[in-house]
Amino acid sequence: MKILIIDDEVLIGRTFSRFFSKSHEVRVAIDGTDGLKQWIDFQPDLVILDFIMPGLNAEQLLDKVKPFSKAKVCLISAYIGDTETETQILKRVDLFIAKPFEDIVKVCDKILKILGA
Amino acid sequence: MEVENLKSYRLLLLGAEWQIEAFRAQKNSSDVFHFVSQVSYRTVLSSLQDDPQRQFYSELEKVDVLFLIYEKHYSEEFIKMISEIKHKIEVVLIHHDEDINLKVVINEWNVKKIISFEDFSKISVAMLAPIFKKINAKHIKNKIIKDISVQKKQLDELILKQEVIVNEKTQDISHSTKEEDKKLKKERVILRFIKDMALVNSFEDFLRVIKNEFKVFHEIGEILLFQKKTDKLFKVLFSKNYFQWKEIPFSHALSEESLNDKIIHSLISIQLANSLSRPFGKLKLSQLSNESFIGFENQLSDIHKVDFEEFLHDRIEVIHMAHEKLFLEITMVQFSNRWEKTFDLIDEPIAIIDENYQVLRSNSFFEKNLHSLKCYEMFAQRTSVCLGCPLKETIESNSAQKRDLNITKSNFELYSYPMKSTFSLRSVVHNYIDRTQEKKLYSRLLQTEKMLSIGRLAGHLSHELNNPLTGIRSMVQYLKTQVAAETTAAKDLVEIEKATERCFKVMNNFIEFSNPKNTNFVAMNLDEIIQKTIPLLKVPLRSHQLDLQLASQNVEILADPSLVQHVIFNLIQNATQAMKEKGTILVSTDVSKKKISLKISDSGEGIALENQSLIFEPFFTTKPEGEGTGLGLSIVKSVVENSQGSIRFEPNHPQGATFIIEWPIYENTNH
Repeated sequence: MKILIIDDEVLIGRTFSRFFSKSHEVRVAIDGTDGLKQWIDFQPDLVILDFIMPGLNAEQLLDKVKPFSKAKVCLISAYIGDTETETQILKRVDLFIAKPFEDIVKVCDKILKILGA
Repeated sequence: MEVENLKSYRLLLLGAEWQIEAFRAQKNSSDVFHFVSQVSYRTVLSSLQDDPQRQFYSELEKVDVLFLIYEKHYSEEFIKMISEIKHKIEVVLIHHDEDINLKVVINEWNVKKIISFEDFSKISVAMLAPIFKKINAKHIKNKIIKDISVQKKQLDELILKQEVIVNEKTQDISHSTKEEDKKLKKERVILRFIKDMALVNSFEDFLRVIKNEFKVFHEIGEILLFQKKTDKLFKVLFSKNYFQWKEIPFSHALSEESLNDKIIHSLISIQLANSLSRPFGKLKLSQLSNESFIGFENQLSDIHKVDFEEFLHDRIEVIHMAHEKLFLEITMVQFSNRWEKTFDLIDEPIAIIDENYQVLRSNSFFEKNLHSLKCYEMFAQRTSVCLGCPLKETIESNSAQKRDLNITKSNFELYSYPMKSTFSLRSVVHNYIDRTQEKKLYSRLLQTEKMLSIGRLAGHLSHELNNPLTGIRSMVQYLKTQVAAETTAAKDLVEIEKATERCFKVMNNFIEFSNPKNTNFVAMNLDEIIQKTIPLLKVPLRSHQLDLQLASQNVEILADPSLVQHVIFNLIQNATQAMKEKGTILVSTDVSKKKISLKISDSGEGIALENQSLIFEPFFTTKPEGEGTGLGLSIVKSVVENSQGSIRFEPNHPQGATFIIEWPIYENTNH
């Protein structure tokens, strides 16, 4: 399985990468623009996406990849359901994980579950 | 007396025996002829026979002295004629001694002068001299007597004239003395009037003194003071048991002249009679100023009118002066009263203070202790000058100063103005503006703003820190899976994880502090919460009657139940405390269109008007110190408003207060 991690916080992206790279093909992008480029090039099965990033944000990114992507999307964000935009985007993703999360191991388990399903 | 210029006598010698030639011959040689201007001679016979009697008589009249020689044959007619003429001229009878009966002659002839000669032929002029001298002496005597009588007459006339003059003068003098007395008396009376008028200090007094002065005229009735508002509207001061002012409209402009018109005069009398509700006589007006008249009601006859006019004329100037003085005094007093009132009404403490801190004048908000005289004793209850007092600086720089002072636990903004004063000491005006409330509000506002900015900072910080902290914690958690437990590296990683944990905690506490949001909003039924709360109020409700009227069983509100319980508890507890004696507390709920309302009312003392706008303010309390924090109602208000509700307050009739809270009905879309 191909997993793309898009997060401007390097340590978060790297940690996910460490966990998933044992059994999956993983790539990491550090902003929205880079994320879009890799999404097109890499054609991932799963994307772990941060909401707010330099370049394109999660919503803009989803708009751009919508015509060709069949990847499952897991959104990670500190902002939840407060505004219309955020409520809308929750309907377009397969999993939402609130940030800051306490245990990355459990988060990774959740993410793998949606891949399996 | 003049005797020398004697008249020269015309002499007639009558009788046949006169020696006329000899006589004439002696004429110039004798001094007797000084007396004689003319000598004529006739015989008696010829005179009587040749001429008619009257002619002779008229001839006789033309002489002064007649020498007649006596003869016995003279007719009676002749003798009669002589006795007649004798009154006009001197008649001297000359006779022979022997042939005359003197007694008869004197009686018949009525002649006083008789000379006897023995021989007529020897009669000489010299012999006649003593006769002439006698005649002359008689003439002189007569003349003198005549002169004297004339002079006496003149003298009498003179004396009479003098007497008349003296009489006149005496009369004049006595008259003028009387006049003087009268004048003096009059002046004394006027002087007393002036004194009385000088002491007058009100218009009522003014009229009273004038009335007293004019009481000598029984025909004078009321005396009134007219003050012009417009030409035809006057404020009139008059006495009817007591003095009173009344506005009286007139159909005609009122003036001294307009009263000369009989019709206008009687109209004005009628209008006065109507206004004073009594008959009114004639009116005599006298102008005191542009705006004022004094009026004398009277029934004066024309005779008394003159006296009255004179009496008034003597006093009108005094009345004018007293009126003007009074008017000015009253104006001044009103003026200064207005200023004093204004000064006292200003609700900030103001005082005029001299350079020794002595208070010269202050308004009622400044005075706390009337007996002290230093400003700091009176206003600040201090024994020394207030810290930061600008008084000396104001005086020295002669310019206004502004200071913030703390006086008796209050914050004052003090404006200190130098006074251009006539007092010997230089003085200032101090105006204290209480800024305590403003300062409190300002500091609260500042605190709120601080919290808001901390909140924003916390939000920003948490976003900035949460990401890297999440990264660190996640990486540590991954690394822990890569190292064997109980190794040094594993222990180090645990410490790092704990540290990130502490960081998250600090972060969360910080956010919590700056933006408290630990509320648990749920759909809840208000009636249920009320039922649950009442038992908690068992003790305070013990001495009052509780009336529950709950009617919102089927609807819900979105709120934190524990906070709503706090609100209900607080309001009912307040209601019990508002009633000192046994009273009734009504707790009711009601549902209307989209709102649920909760009413909690008591029958207590209610809320004082001045406090009504303050009751929801934090730290406001009417409870004794230590019994209330002043936060209760402000927390109630913030809880209600956080749950989209509103709270207000209404006074009860006849007494007590009602708090009304309204929440929107919560409609759960999931239902």
